[in-house]
Amino acid sequence: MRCYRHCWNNEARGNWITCWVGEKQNEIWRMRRDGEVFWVLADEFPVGDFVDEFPVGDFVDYGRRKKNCSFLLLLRFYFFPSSLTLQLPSSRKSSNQSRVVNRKMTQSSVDLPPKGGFSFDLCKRNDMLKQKGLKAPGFLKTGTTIVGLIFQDGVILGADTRATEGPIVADKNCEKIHYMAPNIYCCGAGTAADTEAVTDMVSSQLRLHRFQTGRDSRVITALTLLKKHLFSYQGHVSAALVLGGVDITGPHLHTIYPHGSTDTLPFATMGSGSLAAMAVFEAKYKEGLTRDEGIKLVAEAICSGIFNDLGSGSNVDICVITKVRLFIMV
Amino acid sequence: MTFTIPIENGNEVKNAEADSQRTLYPYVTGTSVVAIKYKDGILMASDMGGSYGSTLRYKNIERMKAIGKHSLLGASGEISDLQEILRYLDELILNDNMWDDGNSLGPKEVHNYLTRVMYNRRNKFNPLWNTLVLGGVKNGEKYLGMVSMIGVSFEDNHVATGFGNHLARPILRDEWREDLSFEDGVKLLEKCMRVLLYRDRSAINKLQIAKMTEEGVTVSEPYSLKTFWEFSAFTNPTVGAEGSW
Repeated sequence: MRCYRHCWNNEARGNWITCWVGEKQNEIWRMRRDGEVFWVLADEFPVGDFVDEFPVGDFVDYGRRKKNCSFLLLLRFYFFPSSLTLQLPSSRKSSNQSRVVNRKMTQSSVDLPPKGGFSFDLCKRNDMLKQKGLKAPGFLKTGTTIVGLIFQDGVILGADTRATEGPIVADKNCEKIHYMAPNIYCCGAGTAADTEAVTDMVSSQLRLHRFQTGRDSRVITALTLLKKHLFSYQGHVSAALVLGGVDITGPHLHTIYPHGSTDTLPFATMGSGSLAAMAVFEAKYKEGLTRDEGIKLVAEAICSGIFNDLGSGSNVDICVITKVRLFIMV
Repeated sequence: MTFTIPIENGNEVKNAEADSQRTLYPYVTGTSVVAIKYKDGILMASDMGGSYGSTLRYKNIERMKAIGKHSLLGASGEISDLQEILRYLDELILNDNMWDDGNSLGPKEVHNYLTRVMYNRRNKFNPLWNTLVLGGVKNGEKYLGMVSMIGVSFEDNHVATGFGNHLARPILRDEWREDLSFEDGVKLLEKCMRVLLYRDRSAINKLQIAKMTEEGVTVSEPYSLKTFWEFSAFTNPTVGAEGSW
């Protein structure tokens, strides 16, 4: 199959780099400088022809990579950016140029999706790509063991400190216990960026709320804010959290799953090491533990995760939250 | 629109008849088995449930059996394959007895036989869908080993199958000692089985504990464990936030 490659005048066009005109099906392909690829099926352009301009919104459908072309992949799109033109290099002019559609760029503004809410357009595109055979980049699973338990004076949270990037330990001493409020802390498992961002965001919201109400934050406030956010992203924000704190109504411990469901529990574990840690809790937890017993049990549970799960390791972080004062041990 | 749709790869025609002769998925399954070596021999625990997918169909399945004079077999996974394995072992022991030479197959030999059987079946893409635990005592020597459905076999002081690997082995690694007494061993196994009961959805509260010593095998009567559900967070989870969940 013959391919024609045209190099565009970058200065003039800015974004467009190359274009191929495929022989077999009259396809015209283009690659933008920033790497986004799309192509246009244009039946009316004969093979080998150069095209001049397309009106906005002309692109209709998707296709497959041709063997001789070096484009990796095609996107389907619903709208073009308004500055979509193909420019011929000045040296080559098509003989059929007069026949080629010389449409002017319509400057119609593109309809943006309504503000707010999650736009799932790219999800449809990703599904289409997967169907066509593109392997999606996987999420890097961050192994973790995080635990929490309620003892007689408050809540104890514990976490390991290993952050993994596939089979490699990316950070051997990271902090998985995040600050939410002076009396509320949150351990996070799952994608590290997601847990950081989500806890930061809710922590700021809680601070503003404290300014507004003049009272200490309550644990269920943090819980509701987190679960609202996670649910609205339908599990794509991969953050599994153990939220614990002591407020005016007493000590509370909750788990929050990436899809937005929550549990209220006397003891909780999350992460890849959660089964090993849960085995320790189920065997040894009882109500009304003292502070030292609680710390010992949390440390045992995290150690169980560290020794029996490959995704967890390094050190143990423990956070004790009580009614009067807050202690953090690292 | 004139563009080609690619033909999917993998257009081999599967022979449906040939497939029905191979094990593709398990149907009636038993859940975990946990076993430890103790002072006098081997202790093994398993519950008596057989699940048919997500239904608890059978509640009286004995998944631990004595093999010959010196071994105890426990199995999790497909129950019909367990019954087939018991028939193979019956034949093996029978042939051994027919020799009548004063020698009898010990746990090491039976374990090796099972490893060969499982690995060979797996190589033919027709596995026996079980994870087997083989324990025994012969001439004062204790032996405890495990074979999985793909033929992985090893020997250890404490083994567990299925979910027991994730929930029971951490406890066993922490608390197993070389010279456990019978009562301590049973307590340890019960601890593991209780965690499994809480956290494994296919576990039931009806378990048996089997003891294997130089004298022989005793499988206990089925009994159930005591569980505790009275945590204050369970009885009143929305304290401080009435109406939430």
